[in-house]
Amino acid sequence: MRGSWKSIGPLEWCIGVLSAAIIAFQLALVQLMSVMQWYHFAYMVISIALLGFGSAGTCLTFWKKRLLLHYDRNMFLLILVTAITMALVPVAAQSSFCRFDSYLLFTSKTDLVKIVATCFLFMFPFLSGALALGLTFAKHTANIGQLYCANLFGSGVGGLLIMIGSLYFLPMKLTGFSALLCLVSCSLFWPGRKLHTFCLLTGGCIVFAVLLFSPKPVISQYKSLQKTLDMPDALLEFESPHPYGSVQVVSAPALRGAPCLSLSYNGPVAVKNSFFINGNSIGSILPFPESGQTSLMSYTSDFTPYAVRKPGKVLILDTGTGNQIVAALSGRAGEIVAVEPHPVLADFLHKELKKNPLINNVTLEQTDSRAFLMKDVVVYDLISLPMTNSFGGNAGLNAIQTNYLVTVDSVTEMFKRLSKGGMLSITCWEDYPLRYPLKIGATLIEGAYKYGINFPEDHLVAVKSWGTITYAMKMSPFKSTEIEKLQKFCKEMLFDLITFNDRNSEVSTVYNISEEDAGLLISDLFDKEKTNLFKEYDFNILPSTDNQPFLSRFLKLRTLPKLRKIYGISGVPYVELGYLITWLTLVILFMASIFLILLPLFRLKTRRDVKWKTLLYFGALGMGYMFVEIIFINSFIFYLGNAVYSTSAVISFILIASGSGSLLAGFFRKNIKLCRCAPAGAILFLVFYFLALLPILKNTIFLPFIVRLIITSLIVGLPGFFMGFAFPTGLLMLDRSSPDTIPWAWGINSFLSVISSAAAAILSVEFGFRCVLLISAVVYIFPIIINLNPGKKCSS
Amino acid sequence: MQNKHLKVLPTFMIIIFSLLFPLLANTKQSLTNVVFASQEKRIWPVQEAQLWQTESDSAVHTGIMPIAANDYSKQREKMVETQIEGRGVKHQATLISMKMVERHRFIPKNIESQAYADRPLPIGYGQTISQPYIVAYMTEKLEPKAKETVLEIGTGSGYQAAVLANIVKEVYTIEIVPELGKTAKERLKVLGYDNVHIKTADGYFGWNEHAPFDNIIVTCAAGYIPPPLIKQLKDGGKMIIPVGTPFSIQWLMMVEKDGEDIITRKLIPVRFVPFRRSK
Repeated sequence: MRGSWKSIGPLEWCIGVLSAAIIAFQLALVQLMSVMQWYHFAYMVISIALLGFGSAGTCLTFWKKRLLLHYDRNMFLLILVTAITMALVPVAAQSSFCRFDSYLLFTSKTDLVKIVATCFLFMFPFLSGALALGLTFAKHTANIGQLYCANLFGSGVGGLLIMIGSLYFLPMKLTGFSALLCLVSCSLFWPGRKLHTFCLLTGGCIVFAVLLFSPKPVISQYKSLQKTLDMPDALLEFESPHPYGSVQVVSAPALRGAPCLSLSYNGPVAVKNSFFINGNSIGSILPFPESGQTSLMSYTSDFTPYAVRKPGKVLILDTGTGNQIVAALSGRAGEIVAVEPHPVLADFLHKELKKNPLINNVTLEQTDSRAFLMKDVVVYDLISLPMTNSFGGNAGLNAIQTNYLVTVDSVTEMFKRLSKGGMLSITCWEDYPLRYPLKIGATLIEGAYKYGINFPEDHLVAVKSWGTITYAMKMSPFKSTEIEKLQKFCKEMLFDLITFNDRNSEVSTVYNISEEDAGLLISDLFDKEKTNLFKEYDFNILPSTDNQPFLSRFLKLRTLPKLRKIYGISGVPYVELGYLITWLTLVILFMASIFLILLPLFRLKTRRDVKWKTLLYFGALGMGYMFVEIIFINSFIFYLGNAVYSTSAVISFILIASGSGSLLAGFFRKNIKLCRCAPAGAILFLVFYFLALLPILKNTIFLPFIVRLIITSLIVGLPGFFMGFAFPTGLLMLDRSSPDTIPWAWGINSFLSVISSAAAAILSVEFGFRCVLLISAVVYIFPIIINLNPGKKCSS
Repeated sequence: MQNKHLKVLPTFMIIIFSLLFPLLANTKQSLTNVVFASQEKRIWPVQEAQLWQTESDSAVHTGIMPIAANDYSKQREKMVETQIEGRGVKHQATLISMKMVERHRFIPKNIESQAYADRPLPIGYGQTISQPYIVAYMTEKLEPKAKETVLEIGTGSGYQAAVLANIVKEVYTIEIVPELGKTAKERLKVLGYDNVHIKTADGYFGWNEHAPFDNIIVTCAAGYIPPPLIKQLKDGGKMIIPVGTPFSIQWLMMVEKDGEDIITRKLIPVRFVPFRRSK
C-alpha cells in the first residue's frame, strides 16, 4: 500500500515525527541561546540547522550507495544518534570547553574558538537527522510525495508543539522532549537484534536522564541575573518558563530598586526582590501608594508629566514591574490603564495591586501594547512608555532586536489617542557617546511632524537627572506657567530642565554636568532637513520606524574605521556588540558552509554549461526563501507579540505551504512550463507585501490571537505555496538535462540558505524589511527566466 | 572548469582570511585623549580602564601573604611614573602614597608578579583590585587632606583604603562580602594601617556612627545613589562613584554637596575589559 495516498504507514510516521523533532529542537535551541546569551543568536541557530542539512546533502552525494546498502540499520543508527545528540548537545554546550560569552568574543580568542565549537556541536543533530531524511527520500523515490509531505507537515507540527511546550517548560527541557520525539521515531526502525536493543535502551536512558536531570543553562556571567545572584545571600525565589521569556525573581538582603533616584531624596529605599526576563533585569515591583501619596517614583525624572498637571486618564504601555503605575498613583492620576504583554508579570502586578484595597483606579490589561493601542478608542491625558535601555546604556546587545513600541508610526498612533493637552512621556538612561536619547528624541520629533505638529520645539521638554533623560511631549505647546512648574520640580529634585523654544532658552544645565551637551544635540534634531546631524553624527540616530524598528542599533558601518581608531578593535564592541556578533556569525557560518558544502562538491564532475545556470537558479531559491522567512519572522513579532510565537508560526506555516507547493509541482511534472511560472505567484505576493504588509498587520492587530494566527498562516502560506514549486521543478529539469549537476544544485541552495538568514538580518537593519522583501521578490525572477532544460533531453 | 575553480578558491579563501584577520586580531590600543575625527571635532575619548571587574582567569587563593623576598620597589616606581604621572595625575600626596603602598601585598600570591601591571587583578569572590591608574585618579579627584576622614564603599583587597590611609586621618571602609572584609582587615593590620577601620555590612547605609565624612569613594555601580551616603557627606564634601553597566562605556561621576544643592559632574568615561570568571 506504500505509495498510495490513502494510508500512512510507519515510515511516514517515522519521517513525520523525526521532522517534528528536528524543528522542535531548532526552536528550543533558539530559546536556549536567548536565555544563555542574547536574542541575536537566533539567526545563528537557524543557519546552523541549514548547515547541517547542507552537509547532509554533501554526505549523501558521496556515500549514498554505501549508506543505502544497509538502509534499515543505518536509519536506526542515524536517528538514534540524532536523539542522543539532541539530548547531549545542549548539555555539552554548557561545559567550559564550549561555553562562550558574547561579551568576550572580541576580547578573548578562546571564546572565538568556543563559538566555532558550539556551531559544530549544534550542527550534529541536524546533520544526522537530515541524513536520515535524505536517505529515506533516496531509498523510497516512488513514495517521495507522501514522504515529503510527512516531512513538511511533521516540521510544521514540531513548530506548533514547541510554541505550546514553551508555555510550560524551560528551553533545556524542550530540547530533551525533542530528543524523546526522535527516540520514538527511532524505535519505529528497530531491527530487533540484541545489539540494536541495547543501543536503543542506552539511548533511551541517556535521553531520559537528560530530560529528568538536565542541568540549568549557564547564563552569561554578564547578564544582570548572574551578577545579582553573586550578591551575598542572594536566592532565586521564582522561575517560570514562558514564550515571552522566562521570568526569574531574586531576593537578596542588599537588593534595592530605585532607578535614578533624585539626590534630594533622603528617605529609605526598601529591600525588594528583583525581576528578570531571560536573565535581563527589568527592575523591582515597588509598593503601590495610595493616590497622591509620595513614593520613590515622585523623586525620579519619570515624574515629569505629573509635575506639569494632574492627568485624568493615564495609559501605561509595557508596564513591566509597574514603576510607572507607582508614579501615576503618586501623581494623583484619575484613571490608570496599565498594559503588560507578559502574562507572568501581569499576574505578579495583579497580585501586588490587590494587596492595597484602596487602589481602585488601576485597570490591568494583559495584551500586547501596540495591539492595545490599535484596538482601544479611549482618549488619554498621558501615555507613558517604558524605560528603553539599561542602566547607564549598554553595549548595543539588543541592536538587532525589534522594538515596535518606540517607532515614528507608533508615536503617531499615540498622538491620535491623546487629549488636547495630553502628554507622551518616555525616559532613557544617558549613555556615552550619546545615542539613545538622540534616537528617541528624533523618533518623537519625527512622529510629531508626521502627525502634523509644525513646531515640535514648543511641545517638547526634556528633564535630565544625574543619569537619565525624560522626554515629555505635549499635544499643545507648553505654557509659561507649565514651564515654571517644571522649573520648580527640577529645582526641588536637582534635575535640569531642557527646553527647545527661544522663549525659554535661558534655562540651562545647573545640577548635572556632562561632557556632551545633550540639550544642544537634541536641539539639532528639530531641523526639518536634519541632514547635517544625521549625516555627520558618527552613530545612527535616525528615527526608528516600523520598517526599521531597531531602536538599539546605532553602529554605522562607514564609521567603523573611525571607531576602531578611537577604541581599538577590542573596544568597538563596547559601542555595539549585538550587530557585530551578527556579522561574526555570518562570517563563521560562511566559512563553515564553504568547507562543508561547497568545497567537497568541487570534486564532482558537472556539465559546464549548466553549472552557472544552476548556481543562479538554486542560489536565488536559497537566498529568496531565507530572506522571506527571516523578514516574516521579524514582521510577525509585531503582529503575534513575541519572537517565539513568530518564529514558530512562520517556520511552521511556510514549511507546510511550500511543502504543499512542492507536492503539487510533482503532480504537474509533465507541465514544466506551468511549474516554472509558479514563482511568479510568489513574486506577486511579495511585491504586494512590500506595499501593504505593514498596513495589513496594523489594521488587524487588534483581532484575537487565534484569528491573527490564521491571518499569519494565510499571509505566510500564500507566497510560501508558490515558492515551494521552484525547487522540485528545478531538480526535475536538471534530472532531465544534467543529473550530475543535482548535488551541485543542492549544495548551492544550502550554501546560500545558510548565509542568507544572517544576511537578511543585516540587510533589514541597514535598509529595512520592505527592502529585503523586494530583494527576495527580485531574486525569484531567476527561477522563472532560467531554463535548466533547454530542449536537451538526457537520460533520467 | 573544475580546475579553474580549484585555482580561484584558494585566492578567494586568502581574501576572506585577510578580511577576517583584523577582526580577529586582539590588539589593544591606547585610548587616552584621542580626538574623534568628526567635522564637529567631537571628542569621545575613553580611558581603557578596569575598576571593579568581577572576573578572574584562574582559581584565586585569598589570604595574607608572607613578606616576599622581592619588594617590587622598582616596579612600583615605574608604575607611578608611567601609568599614573604619565597619564596626568599630579596630586603629590596621591603620587607619594601610590609609591608607598606595596600593591603586591594586596593580591593573591599566584599572581603577585602581575601586581604592578596596568590592569586590575582578581582577588576572589568575583571581585578585583582596581587598575593602579584608576585608584590614583579617584584619589586625586577627591583632593584628600591630612585632617580629613574618608568613607569607602567596597573594601575589596583594601588597596584603595591603604592608599587613602597614607594621606588622610581616618579611613572607614565597608565590604559586603564577609570573607573579603575579614582578609582585608587582617592584611591592613599586619601592614600597620591602624587608621583604617573595616566593617562587613551593606554599604547602602554608610557608617552613620562616624559621619559626616569629608569624602566618600564608591567602587561599585548602582542604578541609584544611596540617600544615606548623601546624608553622611559633609557640606562641601565630594563623592566619587561609577555610573553604568559592565561592558558599556561607564562614567566616573563626582557628586559635590553645596548646602542644599548637590551637583553631579561626569568626569571621565571608562571602559572595562571583561575577564572570564572562574567559579
